[in-house]
Amino acid sequence: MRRSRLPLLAGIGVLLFLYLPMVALVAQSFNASRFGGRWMGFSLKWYARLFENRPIWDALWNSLFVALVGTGVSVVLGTLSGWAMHRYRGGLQRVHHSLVYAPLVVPDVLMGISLLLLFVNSGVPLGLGTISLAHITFCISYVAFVVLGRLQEFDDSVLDAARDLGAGWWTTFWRVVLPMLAPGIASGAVLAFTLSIDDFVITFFVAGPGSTTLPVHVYSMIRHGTPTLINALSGLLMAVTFGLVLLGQRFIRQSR
Amino acid sequence: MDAYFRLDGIRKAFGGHEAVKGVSIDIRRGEVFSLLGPSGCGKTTLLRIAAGLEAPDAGGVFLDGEEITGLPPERRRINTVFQSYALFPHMSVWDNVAFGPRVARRAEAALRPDVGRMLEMVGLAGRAEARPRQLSGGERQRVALARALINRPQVLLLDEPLAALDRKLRQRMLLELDRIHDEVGITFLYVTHDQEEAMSLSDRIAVMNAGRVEQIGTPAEVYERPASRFVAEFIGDTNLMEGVVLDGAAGGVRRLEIPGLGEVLAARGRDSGAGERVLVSVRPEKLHVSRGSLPPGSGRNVIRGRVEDVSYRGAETRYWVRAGALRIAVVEQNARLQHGERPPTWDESVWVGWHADDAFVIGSPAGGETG
Ligand SMILES: Nc1ncnc2c1ncn2[C@@H]1O[C@H](COP(=O)(O)OP(=O)(O)OP(=O)(O)O)[C@@H](O)[C@H]1O
Ligand SMILES: [Mg+2]
Repeated sequence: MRRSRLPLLAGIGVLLFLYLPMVALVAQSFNASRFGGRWMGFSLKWYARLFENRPIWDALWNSLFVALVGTGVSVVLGTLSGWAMHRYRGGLQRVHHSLVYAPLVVPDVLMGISLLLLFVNSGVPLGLGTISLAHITFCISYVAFVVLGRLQEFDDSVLDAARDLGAGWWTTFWRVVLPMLAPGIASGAVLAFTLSIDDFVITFFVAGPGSTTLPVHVYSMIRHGTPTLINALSGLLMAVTFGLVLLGQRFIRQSR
Repeated sequence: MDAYFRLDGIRKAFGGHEAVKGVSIDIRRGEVFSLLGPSGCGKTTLLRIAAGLEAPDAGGVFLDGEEITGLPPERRRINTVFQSYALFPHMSVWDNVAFGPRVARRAEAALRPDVGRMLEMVGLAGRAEARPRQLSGGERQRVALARALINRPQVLLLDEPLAALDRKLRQRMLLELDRIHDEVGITFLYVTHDQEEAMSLSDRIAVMNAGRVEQIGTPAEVYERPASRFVAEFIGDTNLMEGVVLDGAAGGVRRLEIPGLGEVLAARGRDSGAGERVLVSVRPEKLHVSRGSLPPGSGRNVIRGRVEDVSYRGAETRYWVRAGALRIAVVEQNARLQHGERPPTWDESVWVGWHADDAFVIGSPAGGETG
């Protein structure tokens, strides 16, 4: 019996649609041409230029700083928030649930403007601090819901068992709750990190002068016309992102 | 012997619904004591109060002469085998069993032989590295048992530990539990809704119904001398006949009038005065059914009826005999079948007989105390 070729063709079509732009971009990053477009021979010079470009590196360090602080803080707060939503029921928890849910659905522009208004009106100087605060704000929500998802399959009777076997509240938390939630917390952290690293809209609003992150910097580079550097940067970012995604999937698989 | 582990006047309500309505139990040292009752009668609630996982609204818990009502679970020398086992899914079998000693800060070198011995005892020495989800139901149950027993508790609480197992495995685990109890000599408080389990394992049983204890006694006592209609019906099968007392001395043979059956003698059970309406319980295996007339010796009840149903079950045969308004269940051992007599069959007219000593009077038909 002959199988239909259709699924295969459709599959190839989808893959091309998704990945062709990226492949083109990576290919262009090795193009010696100054303006991209026509192939002028293989070259690594854009990558070399990239490494000499101070502002890009500053922006990258800013991004990493914000992402690490944002992930660190939001993992702790988000986990506690998810735990609270799981463990306690009642009117107050419904309010809590809605509040944590809101950042997932509120448009980024709105988040950005409201945060900007808040910072300006309360006299907080814009900078890395405000960017970090903004990222923590939306990352908490993602972490909280990833952890909450894990908690749905959490069997509360193990908490009783731990206490019954002589463990106090603290020991129970360290030896039972935390290890059981670790895979969920880890995937929440990976999610928070990637969201923070490539956030543009919200960061754009709350970034102060001299505290630009990588996505915002790339945006200004496009406006001031250095597309070839951006190609090289994109190639690099893609490599890193793929690495992170693979890592994340590893965590998720381990949690199964 | 006096009480080693005592629950005294325990009450517990959940938001207006009273799950436990004043339960008092005295358990002796080294005893296997069962709480037996239907689903939702408050067994788990009572066990959780004993473990300290739930605080009673009223009443006290006493262990070895000391009140422990307010003591948190981690400070009681009581361990539990939970209804759902509640094994730690992220730990190996070994680490599950070692959890208690580790939490008690025992040195790793000192606890290793203990864990090994426990796993040996429950027959899981070869599965130490497995995760709980890789184990069968029976194996999980045994890990839960080892994990609790390694702490050498003064009392071990078991909440329907065999409920999730199939019949064959359940019977094997019952023998195992019995063996383990003999080996460790720890006091067991065993919860079940399965009367066979309770009967074969326990020294004594408390039969519970709707948050109350209906009767406490040895398996034979609760079976042969049920204190209430509920106990008579919940433990094994029984024939309940409603009637009026004609006369009877205290402790002697009473004459009763059962509508549709006529006069019946009952020698056991509650004292009751003439004119009182009572229930009489007779276990099916105490009755005999015969096509020929039964010898009407002294103290024997003999009535006439018609066989409505017969069910052959290998070791025994069950008859349902219609006599007036009553449908009487009779169980005959099939050992007798070989001796020539043709057993009664469907729609045959038969005699049913039983001895007054096997008829047990249990209070009023309304069942005031059974609720
Ligand atoms: N935490 C709780 N909150 C509210 N109601 C509860 C709670 N725990 C138990 N109950 C109620 O108390 C009653 C007794 O429950 P319990 O779990 O003690 O029954 P059980 O005898 O163990 O039943 P089963 O044989 O089904 O396990 C039930 O009606 C149950 O709904
Ligand atoms: Mg229960």
